[in-house]
Amino acid sequence: MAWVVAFRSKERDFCLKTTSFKSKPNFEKKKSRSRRIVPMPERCTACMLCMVACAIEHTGSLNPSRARLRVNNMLPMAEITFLEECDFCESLGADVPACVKKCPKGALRLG
Amino acid sequence: MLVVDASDGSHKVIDWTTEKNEWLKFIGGRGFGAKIVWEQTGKHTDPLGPENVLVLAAGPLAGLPVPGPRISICSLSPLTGIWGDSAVGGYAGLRLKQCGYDAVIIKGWRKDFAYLYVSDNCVELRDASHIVGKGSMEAQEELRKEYGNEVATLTIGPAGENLVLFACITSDYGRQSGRTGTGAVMASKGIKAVVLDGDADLPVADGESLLKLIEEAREKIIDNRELFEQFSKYGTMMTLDWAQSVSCLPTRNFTESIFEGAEGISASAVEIRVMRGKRGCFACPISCRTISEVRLNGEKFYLDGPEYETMALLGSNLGINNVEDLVVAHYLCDHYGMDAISAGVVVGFAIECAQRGLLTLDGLKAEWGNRETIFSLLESIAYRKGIGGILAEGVRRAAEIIGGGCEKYAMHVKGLEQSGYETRAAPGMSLAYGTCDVGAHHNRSTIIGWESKNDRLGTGREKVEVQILLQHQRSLFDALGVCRFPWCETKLPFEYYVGFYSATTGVRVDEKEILKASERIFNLTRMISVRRGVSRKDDYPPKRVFNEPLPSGPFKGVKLDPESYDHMLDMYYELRGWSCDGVPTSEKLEELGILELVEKRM
Repeated sequence: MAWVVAFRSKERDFCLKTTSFKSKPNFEKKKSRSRRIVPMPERCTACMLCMVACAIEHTGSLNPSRARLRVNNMLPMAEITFLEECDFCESLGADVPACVKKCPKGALRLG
Repeated sequence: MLVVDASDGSHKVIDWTTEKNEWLKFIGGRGFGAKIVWEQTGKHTDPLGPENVLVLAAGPLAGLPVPGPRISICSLSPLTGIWGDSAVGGYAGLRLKQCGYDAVIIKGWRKDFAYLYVSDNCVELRDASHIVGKGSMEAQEELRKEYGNEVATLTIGPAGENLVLFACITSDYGRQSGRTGTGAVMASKGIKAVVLDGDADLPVADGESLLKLIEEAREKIIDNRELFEQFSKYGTMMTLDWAQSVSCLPTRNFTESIFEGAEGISASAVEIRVMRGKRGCFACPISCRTISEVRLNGEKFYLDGPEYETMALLGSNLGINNVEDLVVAHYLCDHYGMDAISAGVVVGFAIECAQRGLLTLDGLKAEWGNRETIFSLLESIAYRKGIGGILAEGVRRAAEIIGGGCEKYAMHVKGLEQSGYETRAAPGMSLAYGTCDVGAHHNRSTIIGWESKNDRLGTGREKVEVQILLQHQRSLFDALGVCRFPWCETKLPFEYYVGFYSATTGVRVDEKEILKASERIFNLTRMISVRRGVSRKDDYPPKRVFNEPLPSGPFKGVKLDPESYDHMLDMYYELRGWSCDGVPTSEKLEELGILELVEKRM
């Protein structure tokens, strides 16, 4: 599989940059889905490997800002939120979402 | 590369790729910083004046999912007067690159404090009156309220604002660009904070190979189970037990190398009593950072720490034998925004001088481990109150001001306070401190690990060769813009980094070539310091190492022999291709391809 890595160059305005990546989380929508990812922020080390995995899975980019979830380094616990467009990889038909698979600390659990 | 004039906020973008080959010689990060500082400053530049530059430089690998992006902060150091740089992990490297810049250069100065906001389409100096006077983490909190939690911030605290010469720059709740007083330089420019608000893609030459390598590397790190788990659990904190066991733990201003209270501040004590979580930097599966709970004046705070250096310098070096006091001291340094290593050495020096009757501590008791004395001294340094005004100048200048022969208790090289290894019974580590380009810092080489395993007291050629190799290998990571821990702590082979570099930039290099580039940077940073008067006389460890034998432990009675050290230094210069006065020769500079650059600005 060829990974598409967008180049930041003079044409960067064309790099899916039409809307801000910083969408607001929407918890309401999640409740209607058949599965969900349960975050365990007490285990999270805020390394963002889940964001990297998500961005690769869904956009082919190495840019964590393209991920469908957000991890922020807060004290004492990190903050994990899922963006509106996250469907926990249901549409991909993946058994285990990439973010859950790549978390080195088991801070994301499929529930 | 973005150049900002602090006086009026005007800025311009320089496209370094128009002179690509010239810049690629320096890789990025501290390499770019060295080239910029060499070209923009001179023999008489005042480090705290408008002519000095503050360079925030992320290397080529920073921001990609290679474990642990680092951003190097480079300038002429106000503490040492020579080349100074310090790197910080966390997320700043990622965000700077996502703003679309490899480096931000801040020039000029302004009277009132402002903060610099950088995103991928905006560069602006904004009014900082609401965060002036605030602690470095409080200021970060305020800025996050304004810009959201996804921005990276670099802030200074009261110590920076008051131009404490070892003030640091804080990122992400306490990741510190600690050494060489970069915070004071930022303050001198009137910049209280830098907000990096980027989310753009990064260019990669061969994304497919890079990703494959990264995945492989990550698996290798995790597969090295024992080291990975241990380092993830304790981070550098586990070095404390080791340092104690091999007798190199700085204790009571480096008078001793074994601390009877080490157990009370050890990694397991931290784990049991104050640890509340773990953190890793961006894209790093190792969680070497510890989050601790701090109780101060009945209130609860959280600290990103401690780690080995702070445990050694604020713990054993000040005679603190319990983690509760240790984390408060560390928290105060972070909050005021000053280098915990330098602060620990300066306070230790003050206590020793006071005990010897050379100094009074404004009514405080000159006792080791006395929390009131230590906390009060840290505060008075940050605000330059009373005796703190002298100590804020760093240990070298403080010793000059205090006089009375106290310079023999001042633990520094080239004006930079010595970091966490006592070296009377470690000639290699003495040489590492003596020849490190910024001063007594372990970043370039911690050969003490090698010499403890192989040849502790030897002063032979092999040790000097290893020393030079380490200086090139370790400092390369700051040029690449990534953390060295996966390599040196969990044994990820060095060739992975060569591969990362090649895949990212599209420039095929081998290990030899990339180490040559690192040597080039090391020689250029040396030249920056040589231009400002550094020579052989400055390449010696503190006097105590030669004069006072170790009082206890397995190396009781050992001190460093000046003749052996001189012999090692001769060998070091010879192997480096430097003159016997420690100046890189024209032939060496020519071989490294920087003779013209050097001659132009000498």
